[in-house]
Amino acid sequence: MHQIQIKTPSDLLGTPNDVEAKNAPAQFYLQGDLELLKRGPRISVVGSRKASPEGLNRATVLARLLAQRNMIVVSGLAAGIDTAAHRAAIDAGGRTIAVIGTPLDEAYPPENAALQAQIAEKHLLVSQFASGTKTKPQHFPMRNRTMALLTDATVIVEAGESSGTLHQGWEALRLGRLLFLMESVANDQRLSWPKEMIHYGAQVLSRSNLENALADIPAVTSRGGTERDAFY
Amino acid sequence: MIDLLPFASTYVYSPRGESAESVRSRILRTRVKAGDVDWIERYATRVHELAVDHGVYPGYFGKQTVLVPVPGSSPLVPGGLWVPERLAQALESLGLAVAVWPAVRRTDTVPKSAFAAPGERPTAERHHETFEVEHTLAPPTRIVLVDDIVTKGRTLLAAATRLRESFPQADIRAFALVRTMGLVAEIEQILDPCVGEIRWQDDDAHRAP
Repeated sequence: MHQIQIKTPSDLLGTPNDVEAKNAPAQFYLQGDLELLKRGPRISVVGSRKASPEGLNRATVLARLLAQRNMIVVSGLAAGIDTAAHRAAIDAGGRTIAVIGTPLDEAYPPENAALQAQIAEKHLLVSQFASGTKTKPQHFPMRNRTMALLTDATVIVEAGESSGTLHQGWEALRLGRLLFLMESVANDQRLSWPKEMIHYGAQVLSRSNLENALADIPAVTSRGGTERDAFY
Repeated sequence: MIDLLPFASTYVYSPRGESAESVRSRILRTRVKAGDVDWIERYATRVHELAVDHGVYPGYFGKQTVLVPVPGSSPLVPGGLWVPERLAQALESLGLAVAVWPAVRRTDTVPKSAFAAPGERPTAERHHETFEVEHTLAPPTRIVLVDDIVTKGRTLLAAATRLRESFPQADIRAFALVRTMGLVAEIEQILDPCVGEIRWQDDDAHRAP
């Protein structure tokens, strides 16, 4: 079993700019393969807990595709879309990172405890909450903002008007990271948030542009700064 | 559109090249896009050295220059990262300009070029329609538009046209830290300072070099 390690945002991202620093946690608790934070691109696949069968299928197909391309699938280990994304990445032989809203030694929902243990063992489990911290509702949107910070792009598969996933979408836009909305959710006339996010730069992910979109995701979170590349 | 926009740049970047230098150029592009504070400061310092010690950019920088950062492809989320503005601040803090003035604003979103099919990339006219310029009673005499990365130059040309409409007397130029070398298979050297121009010809922008 991997030991828990504690890192700061600077350890993981290089010096954060002030936009990154604003909502960044003071430290991260990590368990698993830390090498996954040294390469990219890392893509969040996120959405509703109470997802539709179509939404779960879309999350599965996308996560599998990302894994096959050697991209790291990041999600929040919540029920629904998150679970589907993690499982599909693992089943495809890919790598995954779970950013959770509880301390590392607790699981929510409890039925994901085994999946969480598997991710801590073979992949990477991340939390900003120390062991013993009492979990509060606001910890989950905080987790979503942290996930936006740690990933190069976020894909929202499905989300209602009050979904916690929206916190991640807005944070990705604020950080200047790519935000994609699956075409099905972007075109859902019952929702107002997709239009607002598209106005501020969210991109619609469709079958026709998927190839282009995945081919050009700058790995900003693993930008590094080795002296070997110290050209300027 | 204005017919001609003087343009300068410092680095080149290859979107697809596979040589070591091309791959390194994409690291540079990623650092810039990330708004990396340490690297942007280093790159700005290099621009300063080229401008002041080597006179590479005559007429671009100095005490008459006001830097105007170029908006991204969408309106900015409040408090959001705006890399050209960061770059402009870094250049100004080194004494390359008297002020940074975020005078051009995006009012509506246009598709990001990277994700649009070649025929669907936003035209210069579409950029022009979605820009608005802040008014001032004391217009600067020299404006240098600052962008992080230039591809064809449509955005720069459209923003410069908007500025010319508002400030017909001003000397308007453009500086992009990095220029994309999409038509060249490999690049030989990332550091490749230039002065050139962006022309409006046959209903499109043409960048040279």
